[in-house]
Amino acid sequence: MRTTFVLAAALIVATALTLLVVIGTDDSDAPGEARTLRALYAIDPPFAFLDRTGRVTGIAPEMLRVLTREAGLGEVEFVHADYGQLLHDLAMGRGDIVLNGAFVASDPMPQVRFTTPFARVSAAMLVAAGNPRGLHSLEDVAARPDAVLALIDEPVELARAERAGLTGSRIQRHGDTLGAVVAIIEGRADAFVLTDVSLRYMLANSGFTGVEMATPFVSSGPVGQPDKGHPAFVLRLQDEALAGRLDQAITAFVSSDGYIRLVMPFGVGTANIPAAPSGTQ
Amino acid sequence: MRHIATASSLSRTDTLFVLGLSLILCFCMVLMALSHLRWDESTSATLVARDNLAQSRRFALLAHIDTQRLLAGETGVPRTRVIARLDRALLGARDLSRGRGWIAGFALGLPVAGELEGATAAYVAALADARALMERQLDGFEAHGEALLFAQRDVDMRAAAVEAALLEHLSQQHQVLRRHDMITLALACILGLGGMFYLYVSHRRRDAALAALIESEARVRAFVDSLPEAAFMFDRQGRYIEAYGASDARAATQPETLVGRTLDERFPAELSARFLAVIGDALEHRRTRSYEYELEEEGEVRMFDARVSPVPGSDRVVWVAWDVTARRQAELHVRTLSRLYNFLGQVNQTIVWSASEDELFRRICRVAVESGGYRCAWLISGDHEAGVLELRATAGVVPPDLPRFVRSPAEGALLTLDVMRSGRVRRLACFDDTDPWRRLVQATGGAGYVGLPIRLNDRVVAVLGMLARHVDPDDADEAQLLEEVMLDLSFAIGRLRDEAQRREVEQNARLQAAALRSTRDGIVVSTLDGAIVSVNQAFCTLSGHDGSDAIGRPLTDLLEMADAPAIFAAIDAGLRSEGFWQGEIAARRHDGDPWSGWLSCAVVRDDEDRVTHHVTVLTDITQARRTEEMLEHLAQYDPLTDLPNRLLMHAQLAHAVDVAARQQRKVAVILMDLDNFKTINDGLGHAAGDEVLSAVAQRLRARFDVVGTLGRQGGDEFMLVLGDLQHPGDAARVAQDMLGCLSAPIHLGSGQDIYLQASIGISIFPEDGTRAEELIRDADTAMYQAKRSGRNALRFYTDTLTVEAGQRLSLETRLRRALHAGHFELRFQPLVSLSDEGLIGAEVLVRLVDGDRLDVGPAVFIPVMESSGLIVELGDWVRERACRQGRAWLDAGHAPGALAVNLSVVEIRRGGLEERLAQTLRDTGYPASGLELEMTESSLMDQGEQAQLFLGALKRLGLRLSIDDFGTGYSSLAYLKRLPVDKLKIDRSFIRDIPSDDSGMELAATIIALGHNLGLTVLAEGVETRAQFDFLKARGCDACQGYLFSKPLTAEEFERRFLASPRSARGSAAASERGGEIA
Repeated sequence: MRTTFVLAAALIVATALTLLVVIGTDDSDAPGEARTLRALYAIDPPFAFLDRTGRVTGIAPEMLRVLTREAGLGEVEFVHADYGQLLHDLAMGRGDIVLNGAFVASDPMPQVRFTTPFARVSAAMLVAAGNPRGLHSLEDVAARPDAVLALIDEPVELARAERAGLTGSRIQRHGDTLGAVVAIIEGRADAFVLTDVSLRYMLANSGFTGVEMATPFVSSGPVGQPDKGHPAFVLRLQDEALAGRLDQAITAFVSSDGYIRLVMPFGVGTANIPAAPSGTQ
Repeated sequence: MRHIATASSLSRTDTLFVLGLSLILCFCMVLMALSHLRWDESTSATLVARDNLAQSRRFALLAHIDTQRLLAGETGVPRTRVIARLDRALLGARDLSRGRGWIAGFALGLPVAGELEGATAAYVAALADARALMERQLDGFEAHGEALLFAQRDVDMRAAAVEAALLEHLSQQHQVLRRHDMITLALACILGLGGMFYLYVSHRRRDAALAALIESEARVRAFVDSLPEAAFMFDRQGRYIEAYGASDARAATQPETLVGRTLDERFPAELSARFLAVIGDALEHRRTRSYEYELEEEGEVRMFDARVSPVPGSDRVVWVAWDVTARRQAELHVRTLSRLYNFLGQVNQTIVWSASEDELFRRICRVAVESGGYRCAWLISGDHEAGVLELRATAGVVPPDLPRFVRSPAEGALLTLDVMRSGRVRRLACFDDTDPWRRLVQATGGAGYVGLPIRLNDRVVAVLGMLARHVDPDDADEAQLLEEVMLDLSFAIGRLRDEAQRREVEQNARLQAAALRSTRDGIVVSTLDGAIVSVNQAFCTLSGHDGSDAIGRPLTDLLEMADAPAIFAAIDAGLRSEGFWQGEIAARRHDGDPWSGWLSCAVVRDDEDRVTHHVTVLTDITQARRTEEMLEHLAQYDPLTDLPNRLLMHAQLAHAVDVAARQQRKVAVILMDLDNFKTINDGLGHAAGDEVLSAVAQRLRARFDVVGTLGRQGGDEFMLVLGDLQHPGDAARVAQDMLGCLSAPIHLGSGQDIYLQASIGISIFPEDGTRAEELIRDADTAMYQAKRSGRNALRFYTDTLTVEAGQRLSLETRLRRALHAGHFELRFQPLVSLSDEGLIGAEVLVRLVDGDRLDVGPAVFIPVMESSGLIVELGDWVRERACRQGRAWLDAGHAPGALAVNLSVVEIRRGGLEERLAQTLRDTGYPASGLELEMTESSLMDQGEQAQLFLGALKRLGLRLSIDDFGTGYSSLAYLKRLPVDKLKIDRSFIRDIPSDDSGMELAATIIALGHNLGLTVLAEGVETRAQFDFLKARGCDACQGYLFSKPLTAEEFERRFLASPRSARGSAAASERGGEIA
């Protein structure tokens, strides 16, 4: 009697276990065809933008192209997204890696994984040519009651401005860099804070006149440190293996001559070469 | 139980059913899993497809808005953003068309086909068109604003179509899912129904089994309840779980009231602890335990046997108990009786095995303790009237003062004497505290006393006292058994005393018999009619007869005596007259050994003085007789040389003279005296002289003891008596030998060599005297003459004999020298066949060819050589030379026929002839058939029966044999007939007178006929004339030899005349006759 029941029970358990394995296998990562790496980007020259032929280029796409080739990660498919949607789309799985818009240290985000930074950028301020109002820091802007700060409509930028004591009408929000530069030129705003690399690329490529980078510019970090950022790629936490390979490739690439040759056209100077990879987090 | 069994094991149907249900369940699960996968796939597909579409449409819409803003002239809108957004929309559309995409962990693995494929392709194309337009815008080609808007609108329209197709596709998937669910549901329903059915059947079965179990338990309980004994079930703590058994059983008083109580509540602590230990033991080892215990109930001790069995699979035991009190008591009684029966049996065995009273008493005491189970036993013998007691044996636990106590008149003896006086078995269960026995009994560990009186002829002579743990004076069975023991012991005492008496008588008888047996004198008891009744070993040794062999036979049969009839007659007479006889007898043992004895015979009378037997005593006096003989020998023999002394020699000589006188023979007395013996005696001492005399005696005896009678005459004189002498010369030769005997030196023990010489005197009977003393005297005289003549010489008493003897000895010496110097030669005389006068052989003769003195013929030297033994050497030489000559002739191609050689009687006597002949034939290579041996009748008769064997041996060599000089000796025809000879040679004396003597002719004819009748060839010797030849031929004689044909010739002449130019013997005979060659 017992044998029969044991036999039957064993059959049922075996079937159940087999089915559990079949059902439990997550096949989302294993589709029929090899999955290409989808890189999410927002248009943010010189980090990522389309050239006149519609090809995605910039510091991050070019770096990624090189890195994937070096690391043997296959094809890259660039997926456009709005600046604010980048991390959402990454989390939703619409893309596998976010190319731009994220800075190590300044953006502590526990849900995502930063790669080794591929550059080091500092904050810089664009003012009207000759800096007529003598602005050299956000505090200077705040100290002039009539001075208006143009900024990219980003929470980080907003927070920085508010930390400097700028509120309300003294902050002029812009969808992109172009709008903000035009506002300075047209005198609608007095200062525009952006990364040194962005401003340098913009001044070199846009052909705008009547604006210059405030020199010197004193950045106001959270604890009084120079406002330096480390742009890096962002990946989902579960893609640790991919992140590890990218880290290795980045570390190797940034210390090579190829790096500066690749990124020099995009406004990157030797000061922007990232330091030791200790600041990955 | 059958139902339970059925329920507890599944039938084949059940097995199939269960397996079937489980298979259906598995199938259900598979379907559910498939359904899930489908659903999952469908959900993912729906979600991802719709997200793709939504994202595509969103970015298309954003691009549309950007486009409109651009068209509206806004500068803040980058154209590249429009393219980027269109790219994003295009990407979504392409994912959709390829059936791929990901969103929040969902992946699209949906193959796109049919309507959806067409719709998505159109949508992608529309988006591509829109992007191309925008690209141109970027290149600076300003498209018409309307174219851009139319393109955007087309995108919208296509997107809607895609959405519709997608929904349609998803609806179809939904339908499939629904079908799957329905099937799953149906299967689950079947599964449920099956399970319900199986449960129902199981329930039915379990109910049936339960009912059977209840019924079975009721039956078992009925059985258990009807048991006369008590049974309980306990848990480990000793709590009564159940109680069974008749309510009136003592051990289970009101069983139902016990349930729930514990052993502690019912029994004293010590008892319940033991019970718990038994329960614990049974549970621990899971084995049934047997246990015996006693309970005191209502003032009475009851005994119980219990079996405690663990209940399988539980912590409980079943305890079944029987009241075995009555059985144990019966067993005890049986044991007591069996012990006593055993005691009785052992007593009887002891009685049988005991050989003496002491042994019996010792063993009885031991048996009482070992088999009777008594603590202590002792045996006292004595006389109660005199009050004398003796402790004979003890056994068991014997207190040290028991020997004193039981004999002490103030203590134990009273009870023993009382038993003796009463003569009855006494049993006491116990003793009072004041009784002196009490202390003793307690010391042995016993309590009661048993006293068994032992009688002999109605008088108690002993008491067996025993102490026991338990003695029941009321037990009639025990009393009866003890009574039997008492009777048996009394009987045994009587028997032992009878046996002792009988043994004493037997012992006496045995002693006497042993005395008779061991005496060295033979003793024979016989009946009046002579039949032997008994003999002792000494008689058997004396007579050589077996003891059993002698019984029943008369003594006359067993005593082998030469004069037995006379002696037995004398014995008979003696017994009749005086009742006694004694005398010496000389008898032979059975094996022939002689013995001498002294025989005494007497009559044996019975109580009434009647003669019943004769007893004969034989004393061996053989040794005494031998001693006498030895003394006699000493009187007649010389002690130094052990030769006959003067006295005996004188007697012997006288006897020899008597015999010789009767037979007309001669006797020689040879007296030898050592020369200068006195010098040895004086110079070396008498011991050396004695040694010399002994050595001389030994040499003489070795050589001459067989020739004559040797003795020591006294001093250094030895005497040899030769009887049956033929020629005085023989005596001289013997005397010469005696002198030769002394030629080798004598080695003394001191290492010196002594050279001796002697002088010999010889006297001859009857020439020199007719009486012994005369002969001795004459010999003595002759010996002194020899000494005078210069010692180391011999002299006859008569001078002529001395001369003759000297010549004869000289001839012998010359012949010996001639033989060694090769002065003998062979001659051949032809043998001729009478029928054809042809040569048939030759007789080989020997001649002495001495250069100086050719004066001795065979008739002279042959006897001398025979007497000296030289003839043997000569015979061997003749035969060897003859064979070599014959071989040479044969090798030269001649046919010499048979060569006949004479054989002397001395050669025959000496023996070894066959071997020597064979050797000669082998050495020379001459054929045996060509050699013929001639022997005289008398030489063969001399050999007696040996002759036949001897001739047979020669015959076997292949030789031819003939009898020479036939007719001159004595011979028995019957004897002759048995001899294997081939030829008779008629002596020449019968031929010589033919034809003048008629009687000689008749004799010759008779011999010829006789020879032929015996189957022999006949040859005539000495044929010298033709008349003789013719006569012999006429009488049928086969062959002849003689001067008619030829005298004996040398080998060369014989070869020349008869072999080299063969011619008939006749011619030769004629020539011979003419030449008158007569040797």
